[in-house]
Amino acid sequence: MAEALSIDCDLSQLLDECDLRSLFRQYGSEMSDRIRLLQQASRTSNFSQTRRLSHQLKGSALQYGFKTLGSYAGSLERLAEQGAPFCELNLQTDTVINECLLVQKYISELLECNRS
Amino acid sequence: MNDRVLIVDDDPGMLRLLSGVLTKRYSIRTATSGEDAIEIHNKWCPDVVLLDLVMPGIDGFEVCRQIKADKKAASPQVIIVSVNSGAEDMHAAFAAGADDYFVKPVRACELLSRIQLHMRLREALISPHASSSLLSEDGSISNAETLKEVTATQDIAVFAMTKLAETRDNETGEHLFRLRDYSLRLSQELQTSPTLMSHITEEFLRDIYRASPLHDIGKVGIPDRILLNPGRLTASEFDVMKRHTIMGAGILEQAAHQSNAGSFLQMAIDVARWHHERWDGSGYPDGLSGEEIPLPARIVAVVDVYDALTSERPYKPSWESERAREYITERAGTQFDPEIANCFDRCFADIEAIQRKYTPVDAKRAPVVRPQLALVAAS
Repeated sequence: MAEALSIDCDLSQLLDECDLRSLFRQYGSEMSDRIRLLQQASRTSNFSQTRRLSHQLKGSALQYGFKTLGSYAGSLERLAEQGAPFCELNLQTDTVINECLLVQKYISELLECNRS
Repeated sequence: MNDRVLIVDDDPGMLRLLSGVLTKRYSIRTATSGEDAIEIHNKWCPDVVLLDLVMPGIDGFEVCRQIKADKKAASPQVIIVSVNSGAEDMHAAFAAGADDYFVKPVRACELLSRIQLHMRLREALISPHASSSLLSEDGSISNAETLKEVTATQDIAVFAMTKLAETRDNETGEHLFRLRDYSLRLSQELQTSPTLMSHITEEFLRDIYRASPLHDIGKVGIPDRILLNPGRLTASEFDVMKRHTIMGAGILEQAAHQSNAGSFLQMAIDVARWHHERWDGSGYPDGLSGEEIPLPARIVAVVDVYDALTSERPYKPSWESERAREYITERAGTQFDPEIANCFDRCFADIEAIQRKYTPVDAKRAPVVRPQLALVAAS
């Protein structure tokens, strides 16, 4: 389950509410592209691409406060680095993708909820 | 907004976030690949580069090397922002010429402060360079005003570099003041030593006062999990920690290369690299012994140990000053230069006075807390 949106306390001092909402909205909306690319790379055992995408996802997820997604993506990066068997790689890819969807849903509900 | 920051990251989410934080303070350009970063650097000449390491094509290490090797312009300060937290990556980044290293997730306020420090540091490093036209043919500074100006900019550089190390360490600012004053007082005492007095000129005293606080600058390259570890370090962690000497000297060599800062930076390089060497050759990083160890490093070795012993650490209480004095004198000729240990003993009353001057009444320091605040209530 996507955890509570908890980020650097100082980020909210440096950015206004509108900028923050916009940042998270864009992060949520580009998640579909990340999922698609990751799925493509993993299903074709493209290790270098899977590694690069999961590394990217790990960094941004941690920076945006989604620690679970960051951690799952980190595990996928390690498997891709090791050239793990197809099943193992894709199982972890599915875990990451599920968490991506949860994060996407979470952001969308949160922004919707705050608007109303 | 004249100060320029180039942000290099292949993740659009990271680029947006960092740009959002910096855009009201600096002029910003972004690049999503190493190739683009080098092209923008060549055309736009940024002051600071925030650089990711893992990217398609040319990676961050190579970008850093190429930027730092460009002799056409004074190179920008390069701050690595990477999710890789391993000592190997940090070491490789500093070896490639990086000036600082942040592990994602970065705290935005800390990043801003460090960028500001790097801007000041760069300005200070460039200024003496720019005023080199005022040097006379033999390289000496031609008038008093220029000397004053160059010294002032060097002091800004020292301050900025020292702050960089201090922001990562649990040491208090007082440690650096104490160390600086201990080093100066002990050096003055060496002026009475028949064997060492000839080395201690007025210039030496000025240089050690300014160079000694930089002894631990290399700690910027030590991972937090080791640097901020409240317990005793394991053997492998200690091996990583030892690298701060080499990294510190590397950082200062680069600063010396970029500026016209003269003798004090050379002294700072010697101190940073060799302040953990021992008189009997059992120290690190190079196992130098006796007078192979440069004199300023032998001086700082004594006062740094004294300050460590008399300061509280998470794993030990502070020692009484007399006990620490005995520790130093007992190790004269093994750990420490016997003549310097002897001088330390002779001026001990003044050392204690400096210690009292810079030790706050409430010597206990609150642990560093990194608060997290829920931005939006959890559903």
